[in-house]
Amino acid sequence: MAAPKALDVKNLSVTLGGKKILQDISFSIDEGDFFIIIGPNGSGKTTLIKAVLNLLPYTGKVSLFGKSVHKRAGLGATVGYVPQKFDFDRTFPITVAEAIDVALQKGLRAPEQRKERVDDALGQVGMADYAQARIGALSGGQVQRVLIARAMVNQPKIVFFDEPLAGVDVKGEKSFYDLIQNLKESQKLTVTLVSHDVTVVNLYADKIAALNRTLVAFGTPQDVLVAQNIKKAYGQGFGIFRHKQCLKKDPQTQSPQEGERCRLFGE
Amino acid sequence: MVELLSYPFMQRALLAGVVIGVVCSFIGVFVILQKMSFFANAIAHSSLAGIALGFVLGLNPMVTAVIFGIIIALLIAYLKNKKILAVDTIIGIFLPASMALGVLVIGLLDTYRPDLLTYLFGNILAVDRFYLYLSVSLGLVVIILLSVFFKNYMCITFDRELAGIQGLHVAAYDYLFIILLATTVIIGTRVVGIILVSALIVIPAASSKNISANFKQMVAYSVVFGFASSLLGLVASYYLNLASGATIIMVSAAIFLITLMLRPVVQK
Repeated sequence: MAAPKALDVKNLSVTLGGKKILQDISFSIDEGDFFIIIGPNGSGKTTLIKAVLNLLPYTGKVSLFGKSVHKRAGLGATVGYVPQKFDFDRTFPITVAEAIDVALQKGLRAPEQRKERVDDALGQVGMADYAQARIGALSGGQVQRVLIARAMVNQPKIVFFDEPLAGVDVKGEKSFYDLIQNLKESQKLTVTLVSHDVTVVNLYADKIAALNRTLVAFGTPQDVLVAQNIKKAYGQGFGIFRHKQCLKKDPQTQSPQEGERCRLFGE
Repeated sequence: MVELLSYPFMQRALLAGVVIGVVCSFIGVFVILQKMSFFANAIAHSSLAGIALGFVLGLNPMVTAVIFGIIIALLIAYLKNKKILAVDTIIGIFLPASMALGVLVIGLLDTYRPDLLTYLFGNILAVDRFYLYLSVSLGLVVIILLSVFFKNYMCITFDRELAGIQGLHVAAYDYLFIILLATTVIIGTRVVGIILVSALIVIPAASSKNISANFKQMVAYSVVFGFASSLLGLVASYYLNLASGATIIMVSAAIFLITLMLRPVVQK
């Protein structure tokens, strides 16, 4: 019997305030996939993620690892989530450890076990020394790492990232992707990431969905990142070009690897 | 001090004051972090209509005030969730409207009721056994429920989306919190009055926020400040012959000023 799909979305539609935001979206990804959703601003990428996470009402069917996701059932430890924006009160007196502990699954009661999990999660993102720091005192990049640690603390099978690179510079972008790639490989994660930037997606993605209220295209980067799909998703004035670039070191040989970046261009 | 404790009215006042101080300061942590101070104020003002209804109907005014306060609080929360109007607009409508209703209902009374003033400004020295039992039992219910759901409320306060993903029914927790807040506010009106009760909720928590390094510390300090304000305020009001409710709030405000000065040192 074939392994169940990590994420299976069938005929998903979302209507908010009488306005159709998403219409009849269907796709599925396998366990271990690095899946990236692209599309212009307002195309419904965040809405799709929130619907899948039961944070918005939807019609259709969503399954995670073969289990249907019912409204308010709670996605439990299977799922981690890193939000697009985390607007919190910076004067909130909560430490990094407390902020991660609230996300821990309820069944884990022993304080030593909880502390161990929190410390492990912080270690994975290089923030082990910040457990007792107030989260409001951290920089934007550090908060993002804490949010990733929080998403990882329950040792999830799939993690959703909603535009995690908004406002991040090129250096930060590369270090973010490297971190996610490492976590994906070491924890055997399935990654779903929303991005409006197609620049590096084909370096990391196993599958891509191009969205603009409806599903414009779905498949491998080679299939999806073609001019016809880009025009459909972003508008007639847009196209795509590919170029080679040294982007990261080979983990075994430490020699620079050549990768192919895609860039959007508009007329 | 022994003399003070020998009076039954003072024993009741101290017990009621301390319980209310602790309950208000505990729930106050969530109130200020969820930016609901104005909401607490609206519930307090709506209690005037509940109290007046109690007098007109010949029922205990504290009981009718609690029921009326909860209804108004739930109505505000319902309209807030519907996102028809901004929260401050909804409160700006309900606060004066329920206050006006209270004034109109008071006009229906056949006789002048001087004890109505004690609800406006509080008079803890006049609390009877019924109020003592009511406030202690309701206060304990609030403390127990907040303690049982402490982690869930902490999660909702810090990140509502995360709470939803974890399977918490956030809207149900919100409504429960509003019922607990309305109950706390109304039983608190007897201690410091309708006009000052929101200070009893907000000031200890705000003082605690000034000097806390983490969430648990914030709750602990807030409860200590609430307890100390009520106790010191009552004792000071007895010996200095001052209004008890106002003295409690002034002690609380003094603690806030001290923590405000300590803030740069503690949070360095």
